[in-house]
This record gives sequence, C-alpha cells and structure tokens, in this order.
Amino acid sequence: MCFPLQQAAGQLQLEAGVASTANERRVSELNISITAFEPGVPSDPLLYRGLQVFPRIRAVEALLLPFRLREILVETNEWGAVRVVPEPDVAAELLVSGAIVRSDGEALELQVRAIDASGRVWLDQAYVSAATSSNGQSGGESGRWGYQELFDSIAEDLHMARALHDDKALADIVQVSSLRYAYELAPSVFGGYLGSAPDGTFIIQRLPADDDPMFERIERIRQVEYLVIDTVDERFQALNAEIESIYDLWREYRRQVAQYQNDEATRRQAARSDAPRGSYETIQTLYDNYRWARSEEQLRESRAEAFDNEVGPTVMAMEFRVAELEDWLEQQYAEWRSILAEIFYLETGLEE
Amino acid sequence: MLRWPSLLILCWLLAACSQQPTLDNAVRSDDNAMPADLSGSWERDYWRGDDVNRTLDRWFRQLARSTPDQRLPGYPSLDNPGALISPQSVASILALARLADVITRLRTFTISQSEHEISVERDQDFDMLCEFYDGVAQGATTDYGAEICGWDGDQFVSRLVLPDGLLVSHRFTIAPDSENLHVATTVSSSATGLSFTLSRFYTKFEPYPSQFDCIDTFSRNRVCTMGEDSR
Repeated sequence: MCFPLQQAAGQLQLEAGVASTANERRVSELNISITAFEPGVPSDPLLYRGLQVFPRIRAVEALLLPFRLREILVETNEWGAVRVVPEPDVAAELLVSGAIVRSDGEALELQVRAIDASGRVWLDQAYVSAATSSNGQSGGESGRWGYQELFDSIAEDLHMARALHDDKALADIVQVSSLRYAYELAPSVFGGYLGSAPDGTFIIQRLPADDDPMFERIERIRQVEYLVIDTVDERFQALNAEIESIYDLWREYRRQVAQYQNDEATRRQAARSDAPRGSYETIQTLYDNYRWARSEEQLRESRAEAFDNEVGPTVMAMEFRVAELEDWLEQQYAEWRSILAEIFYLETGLEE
Repeated sequence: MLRWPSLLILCWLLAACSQQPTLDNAVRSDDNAMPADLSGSWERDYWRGDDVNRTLDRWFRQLARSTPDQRLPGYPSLDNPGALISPQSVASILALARLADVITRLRTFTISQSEHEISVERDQDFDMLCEFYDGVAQGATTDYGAEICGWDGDQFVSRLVLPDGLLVSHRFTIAPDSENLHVATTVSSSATGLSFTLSRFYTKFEPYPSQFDCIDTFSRNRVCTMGEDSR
C-alpha cells in the first residue's frame, strides 16, 4: 500500500541514505532519524584511565557509529530517508538513539533505543560485539566494518519491531510525526489535534483538512528543515569519508593491543617464579609486571593522543559547521514561529 | 581466596603498620592548589646523594652495633630493639637495595605539572602519574599494583603498592631555589618488615631546543616541520 507523503527535501537527494525519487513511499518506509550517540564518557575524569576511555575518541565514535548504523539501514532498502542528526528530533517518525557503553578494542557495547513519533518504544536494549579485524576476516564476522554483526542485529531488530505494526499503525505514526512537528511550531493551532493515551503515547484526535493552509505552510517549513538536516548529514558523510580509514586503523590497533595484552597477562600469571619470597628475582618480577602494565597503558594513551592529533582538526571543523547550521536553524524556528503566529492572528483574529 | 582488591588493602595496611620512618600514612591533597612546582627537566647530581654500597655498609654497621644479647647465635639483629634478622632477611635487604638502585639509576627525568596532574616521565620506566580532581589525588592502578600519591606538606609522595607487601615510595622535595630536587626512594617489604632508602639529588636543566616542531599522528607516525626559529 502506498500513501501520498509530502515531499521532504531529504528525498530530493538521491545519494545513499535517502529514499528514492518519488513523492510516495510505502507505508512501511518510515523516515528514521539517528541521533549522534551518547559518548559514554564518565563525568569523573579519574575514571578515564581505569575504564580505558579516551574522551576525544569517544566523541568521534559518537559521530561515526550512528553513521555506520545509517549505512546498514540504507542498504536494507526497507526504510524511508535515514538521517544522522546532531540533536534528537522528537517529531521524527522513528528516532534511534544510542549510547556507547564500552568501546575498548576488545568489544563494542551500545545501548540502543528506538522510539516512534507516537512515543512507543520499539527497541531499548544493549548490543555487544567482540572486536574483529578491519577486513572482518577473523572472529567469525564478515563485512566491511568491524562490529558489522552488531549493526546488522540492530537493523534486524528494527525490522522485527516494525513487523509488529500494521499499515494503519505505521500510517498513524507518520501522521503523528507531522502533527507533533506542527504543534512545535504553532501550538495554539495544532494543540487539539493530538491527545494522550493512558500509556502516555500520542493519539490522533483529529486531522487537519487536506488543504489546510497552515498545515501546508508547516510542511513546507519541514522541508526546509530536512534540507538543513541533509546538509548536516552530508557533513557527517564527509567526516566519515575523511576519517574512516584512520578510525579503522585505530580500531584494529586497539583490537591487536587488547589481544596482546590479554595473552601477555596470561603468560605473566602462568610464569610464576619459584624464587624465594623477598628475593631479588621475586621483587623484580613484581616491579616489572607493574612497569609492563603501566608502559602498555602509556603507549595506548600516546596512540590515542596521536589519533586525536590527526582527526581532531577535521572533527572540530565539522562540529563548528554543524553548530553554525544548528544556530541558523534555531534562529529560523524563532522567526517561523513568529510569522506563523502573525498569520494565525490575521486569519482568525485569535492571539497565538 | 583473597582477590586483588583485598590483597591491595591488606598490603597497604601491612605497609602502613610496619616501622618505616620514611613512610607516613598521610598522603594529603586537601585542596586544588599545588603546594610546590616540581615541573621541569631534572638531571642527576652525582656529587650528592647516596651510594648504594655505602648505604648498605652503614646498614650492616648498625646491625653490628645492635645489642648482643638480642641476637640469636650467628644472627645479626636490626637496629630497632627486639628485632631479629636471619640470613634470609639479609638476602631480602640486599634485594631491596638492588631494586632501589635499579629504579633510581636514571640520569634524567622530566616532571610535568598542571592544575590536575603531576607526571614524572622517566626513560626505561613507566611515568609516575598523579591526578588531582576535587581535592582527591589518584594514581594509576593496574592488575599488578597501584600508585597512591599526593602531597605531604611541600613534598610530593608517590607510593607504588605491589603484591606480596612490596612497596616503592618516592618522596620529592624541591629546594627553595627551585633549581634542586631531592628524591628519597624507599623500597620496603611488609613481609620482612625491612626497608631500604636511597637519596638522589637532581638539578634543573633546560633541554636543548629542537629545530623541529613535531606532532605524533596515528597513521603517519611522527610528523615534523621546521620550527619557527629555523626558518
């Protein structure tokens, strides 16, 4: 079944990640917004070392990992436009957010949550994957990226979650998304269109007329927002293209180091000396074990710093540009709200 | 079976309870301000400081002066009354002395100090590290031991607590002129109740400035450009 859908600016783009040409899409092809992940950096800096958290690298991962999920979802060809957005979009038809729980070379653990526009949670669970080599040749995984199985699992779970909804429910999600967006911009006009179910989700009370001019204006505004978001998305794509290979090197380095350290730690545990307690050989071994562990830690930190030196300027430039776009969008929202309120007043004589 | 955190606490308690004049329990870091600035490049002053052999001689001479009636036949005693020493203990003190000597053999080291961190960078050894946040001083911890650190008055103290009651402590004291640094390194063992301290002195020096501005990168390793002064 197909139903008409307003032409989102994002859909004009034919690049990867954007649903095909038409103004129509299958009802199942919900648009997905993937928000930049929570980097999972503890607030206490004293915990960084113990948890092997490198805040700057986590910031990069928080941008790159959603992008990789996006690519997987696009490849399924089952969804509408899939966008990576810097901030959560509450009116998104399906909003996917995530938090990095662990990313240390041995494993990646993400907590992923997906919620539709009506407020129903589709997914809220942890995904863990052991590290594999960049070419996916070891560890039982295959694919271009390490952790591909993890992202495949998320895509599969989203697919399964969607299968629990019939066409009517999916169409309602799209309508609720539009109405929530309209409410954000013109609350007085669209306040009565949505209600609340006992479980706290949004339900449609009524729909605007097909030719409702205010709704049409808001849809046009949303198209402009899509354009901006797609520009931001392009920035993410550019960032991904620029630092993907370096990040993969880093990930491979972390994987190999973790493997070496585990092997070496096992060897050191096994190689217990028979020398008497208190002898030089014994105390030297105790000291050397600590020295080895700390030296490895320092090496990791220096490589993390080197990684940051290399990708930091690119990430900062991208963040700056995205912040500019967000600021612009924020200013536009204020202006649009004001204009809409003025139009509403002119048309109805009622104050917004 | 004792797990590592329990062992760590036990080792720390044992170390704290042993009679070691160069170690006190208070590693304080009450506020964010650093009481002294240790930063800089430091070079060993070989004219001053302990020689390990002479220190050992002194230690054994003190043994010889111990009260004879407190000695078992053929066994020297420690200088603290009532303590007895066995051939194993002699081997232990020699081991502690040797480790102290090895650890303190470095010719130069660099101390970096910021509002939140003191790092002692040593060639051929790990960097001693102490982080300070919200009045809490924290050293590094690994599966093989932990660093406990902080300020004791104007002295910076870093203690490395290792399994089996082995403790390596460094106490840094900077001279009023800020050009000289004294480091007392004590290696002790709560298993034997013995400790050995070596004093080293260092003077500040200015490293020769490099002609290049270098930056470490991940995929291209170290990338250097000619420094401003060289152009």
